[in-house]
Amino acid sequence: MAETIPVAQDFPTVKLVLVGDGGVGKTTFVQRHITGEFESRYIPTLGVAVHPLVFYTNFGKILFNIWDTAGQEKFGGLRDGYYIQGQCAIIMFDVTSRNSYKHCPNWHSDLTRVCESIPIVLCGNKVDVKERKVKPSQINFHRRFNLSYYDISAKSNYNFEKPFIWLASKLTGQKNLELVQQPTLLPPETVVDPNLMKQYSDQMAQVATLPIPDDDDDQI
Amino acid sequence: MDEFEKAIIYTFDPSVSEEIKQKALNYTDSIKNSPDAWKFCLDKLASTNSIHVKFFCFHIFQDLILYKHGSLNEQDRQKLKAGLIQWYKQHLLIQNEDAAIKNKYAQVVVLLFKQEYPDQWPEFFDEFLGTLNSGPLSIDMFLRILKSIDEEVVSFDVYRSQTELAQNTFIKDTLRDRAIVRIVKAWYDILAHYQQVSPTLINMTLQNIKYYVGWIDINLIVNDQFIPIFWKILNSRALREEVCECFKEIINKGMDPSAKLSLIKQLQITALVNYAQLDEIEFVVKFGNLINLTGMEIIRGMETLQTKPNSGTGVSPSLVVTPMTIQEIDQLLDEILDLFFKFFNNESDEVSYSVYGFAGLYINKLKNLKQPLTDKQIQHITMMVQIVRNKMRFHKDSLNEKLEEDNKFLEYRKDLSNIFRNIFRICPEMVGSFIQQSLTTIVQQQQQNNSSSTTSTTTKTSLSTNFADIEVSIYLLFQLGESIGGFTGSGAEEKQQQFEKFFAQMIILLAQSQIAQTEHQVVSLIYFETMVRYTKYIPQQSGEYQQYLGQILSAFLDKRGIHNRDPVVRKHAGYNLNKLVKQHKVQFFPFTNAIIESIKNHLIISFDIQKEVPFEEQLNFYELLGVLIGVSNLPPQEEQRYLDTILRDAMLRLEEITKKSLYKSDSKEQPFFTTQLYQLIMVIGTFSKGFSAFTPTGQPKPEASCQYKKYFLSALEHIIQLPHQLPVLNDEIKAKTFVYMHRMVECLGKDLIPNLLQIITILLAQVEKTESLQELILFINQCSAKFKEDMVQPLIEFLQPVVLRVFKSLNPPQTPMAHSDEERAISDLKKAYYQFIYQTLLNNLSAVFIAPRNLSSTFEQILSTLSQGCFSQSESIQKTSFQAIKKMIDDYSPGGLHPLAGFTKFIYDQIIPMFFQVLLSEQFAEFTTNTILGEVVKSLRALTLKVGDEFSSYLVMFLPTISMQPDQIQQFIKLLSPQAQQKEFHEYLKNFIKLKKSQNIVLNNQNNQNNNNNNQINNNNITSSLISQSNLNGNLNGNHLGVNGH
Repeated sequence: MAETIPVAQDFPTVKLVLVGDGGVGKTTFVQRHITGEFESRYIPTLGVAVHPLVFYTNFGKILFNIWDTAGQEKFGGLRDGYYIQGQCAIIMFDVTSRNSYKHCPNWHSDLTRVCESIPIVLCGNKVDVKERKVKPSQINFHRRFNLSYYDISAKSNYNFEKPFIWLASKLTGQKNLELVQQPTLLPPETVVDPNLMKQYSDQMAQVATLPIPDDDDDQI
Repeated sequence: MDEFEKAIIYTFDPSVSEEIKQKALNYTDSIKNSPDAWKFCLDKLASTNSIHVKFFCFHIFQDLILYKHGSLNEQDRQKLKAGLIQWYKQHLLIQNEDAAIKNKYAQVVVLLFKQEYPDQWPEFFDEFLGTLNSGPLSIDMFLRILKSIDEEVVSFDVYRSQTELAQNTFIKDTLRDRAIVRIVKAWYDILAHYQQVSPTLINMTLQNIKYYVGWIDINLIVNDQFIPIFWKILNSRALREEVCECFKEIINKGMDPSAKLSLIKQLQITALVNYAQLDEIEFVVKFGNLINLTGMEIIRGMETLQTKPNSGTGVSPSLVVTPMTIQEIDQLLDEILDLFFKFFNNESDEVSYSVYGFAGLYINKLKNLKQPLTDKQIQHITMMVQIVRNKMRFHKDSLNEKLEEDNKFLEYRKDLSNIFRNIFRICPEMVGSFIQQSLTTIVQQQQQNNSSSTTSTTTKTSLSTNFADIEVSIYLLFQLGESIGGFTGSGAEEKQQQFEKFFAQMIILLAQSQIAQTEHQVVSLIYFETMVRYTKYIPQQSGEYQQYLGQILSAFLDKRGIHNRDPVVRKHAGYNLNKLVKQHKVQFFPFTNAIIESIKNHLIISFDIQKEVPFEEQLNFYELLGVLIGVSNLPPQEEQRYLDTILRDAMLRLEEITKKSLYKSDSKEQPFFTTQLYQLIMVIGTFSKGFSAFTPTGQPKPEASCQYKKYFLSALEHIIQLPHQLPVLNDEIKAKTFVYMHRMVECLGKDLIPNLLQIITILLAQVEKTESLQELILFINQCSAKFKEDMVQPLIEFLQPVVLRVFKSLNPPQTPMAHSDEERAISDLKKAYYQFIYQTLLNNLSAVFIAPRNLSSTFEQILSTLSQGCFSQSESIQKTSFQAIKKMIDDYSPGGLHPLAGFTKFIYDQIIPMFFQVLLSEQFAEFTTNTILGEVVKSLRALTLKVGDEFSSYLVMFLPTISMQPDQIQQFIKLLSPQAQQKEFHEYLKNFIKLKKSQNIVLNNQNNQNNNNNNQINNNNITSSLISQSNLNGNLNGNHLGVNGH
């Protein structure tokens, strides 16, 4: 499964493609992480920014070059051309927008066409918002394709590191990979309600036991 | 590399400077926008070596096919098609390309296929089938194209429009008719000839079959050709998982239950499982999934056949069905159950979990059976209980939720609990005695251990009961508590009582044992939780009740509990002790001194103590003491003694810090005293939870039994000054002050009122965030609901400042961005504001709005916002606005609580026309209109009750302006009279609105544009006339709450 990781320095560097509808919070998400060592390059004309993010794991350091395809959602630009040589990906949607969830399979199919079987994480952002529209019980698309799923909140840093740990573990083939140093994040702008998050994850777990519906359009 | 190629490569390269990139982009855009770009790109595609350039070309074709295909002339259409085919033959068939390019080509060619097949491109499949014998490259491309057809035409995963779906169905049908047999033949040939040559091609073929089997004739695959080949491939490590997937999709195919059951029988899954080499977890999981699905399909099939026995005799589209006998079906289920138990009990949780769905469904089936279980079924569930217990056992004695592995285990345990509880509902006695037996065993073993360990230390380990056995036995007991209410049918109550008694026995057994003397975290955690859950079932009339409580409590209070060395256990014990005391309240009062003695050190608010016992845990202790003292109705002197003992230090410290202004030495980095201040506020506030100035029915308690108030009042005097005194760094302080004030409404009752003006004034001056303002409004609403008429005076005084402050926040200098937090906060505040107005009216405080000090300006503004609220897009604001108006009609009309001169005229001039305008507006959906309609009916009825005749004469004048005919008007007034049924009037008005709206639609269709404009003008008229003609005279400076606020 795992792609071979080109070794640029003494630690692996991987290209991570970040996709999802406009406004789901992709840019906010990558900007939570302050690496200090690198400067992020922002190319406003093309709207693609590459953010280098470093994580320190019990299997060594790993650098993710995150290709944030902001503003490239519809026409123009280079679209799936950006995915070329992508080694892993995050598909992000906004739990307060049903449409952004509905489009995830389209993002997934675009990604796998270019990158075939790379590890992909699905992330539902903005779980700090009280009026959640995409309920945990409705999120099941990832199970059909063996993606991992995480509720996240870029604003509150909730679960920020989770997708990266999962991807790093898939890429390195090390099941017991964990962080040895917490990433340096901007201070949270909001705080998630731990009880609510617990409730969400319980609901997710319950649903995981149900058979996968053929077509979830009716529920959304 | 020419200019064009360079330009494209620059645009893809993030390291290229912006300036160059911009130039490059301009250049490539100019090519993209030229009408013949695709011809240029057909040439380019043949000559370039760059993957990026190829992608650029494909994008050009993609856009052409998707958006401009219809405008191509015949010659160009042929040229495009020929160009793509030519590149395939001269390039893709000759040299191996990057997978991304091959897939992109497949996508583009399939998009064209979607536009042209079958009419304009009947020979599509011949093109590709015809080249298959030229070798692996052509087979590879063929399989990719089929996969792409699945993605673009068949797959339901991707979101598509209705038109696209219809077109897809047509293509699918044609393909099934004309091409599928040849495609399947090609698959077979590949599987038969390439197994040794190219596993990759075999894998892709199997994937193709997996995708297609759901929608093609099943007999094309389930036959003597393919099935033996599948079995054969099962021996190949690289390919066997994909074979498993094919079997899964075959079983998953939608068909009638009889056909499905025969299909399952024909596939011989049991033989298949026995044949496969289950030597790798991942592969075993795949088979687990297959068994799971097969089992579930069998049960579903059986159930459908039971409810609709005829569904099996229907004509099956694909399989020739010889209906199976019931015995045959049962045998099928038995076979799969045998496999299932092996997998369910597998050492690996992943394997076990793979058949979990079937376990759940099978138990559910047994649960719904009408007849008693057969011996075989009882045997099955007994086995299942054993397995569930096995799989629930911990592998280590403390878990870390941050570890994925531990988390997964905990999740699975939760799932298993579901099954376990369902089994309990089916066979309570069996499960009960199972648990009793395992608990008795662990208690006995523990006893033997302890007695033997005193004599010989060497035997300890060998005799020691495994902590996991202890833990899981208690955990299962705990789980039963959740199903105890689930008994149904006759004898349910006795059964419940019988089990309540059982729970009590079991925890007394545990409390008297040495189980809690453990060093295993997981055992302690479940122990305390179980005690809390079942203590309530110990019969109070029992002579030993106090003794039992004492025994239970002692584990919480000593080094097994809140003095445990393990901080996790200590925290858990404190939390559960609080829960236990709150549940039983006064029954634990006899132990108060013992409790205080045990926790006195934990109560000290100092950073040294908090290094051991964090502040959040300290709050548990204050809360439970508050409850013990507060609910016990002690004689004043005794109560005071306790209050002194518990609160004195906190009060003195609070006073000291505020009086001496110690917090001034705080800095942002070290907010030492500020932190302590908010901790003290929380301590006193949390303790106060046990105290209420009201009886359970909401009546004020006599003063004599409220001596405690002076403590909280004196704390209040200090606390309310804090937001002022600590103008910086005080967000936390402000938040805690709010918490304290909310508490005081309940705790001080009416003694709070004299302080309210000061409290509101200070808080109002200190709120900065929109959220805090909303909190303040909540607080005022809480006071109004509790104190009712007593709130009139204070509210009269602070109504205006509060309302003005709200308006200020609702109209920020810059409009917040859509979907931003700021926008959300404003929208929440807006809702809170409308609730405030309505709650004030609802709590009989309508005098507040029309007090001389508010009448001329504030009231006008409020009315104006209510009219706007009636047009709000937010359903809740809209409804609240209508409700508020109805309440005003009740109170301000002649004969109301506070008749207001000119109010009815205002209603006639402004409100009634507005009612109809909202009802008739196209802007609101039918559902919304129905809710509003109900509110309007209530208001109109209220007016009839108050000023019947006057209102009727008004209606006679008004109704014609909305084109009501004389006979309709008569009926309208008749049905509105108090003697008539409200329901009838509601129905009448509803029909009138419906009719009127449908006429509008006709009008709209005739002159859509015009009508829209008119509506808009009307809209403006109403709002502006409300303001200018208002009979209440006053200077309305228009608060823009925003008509469309949501």
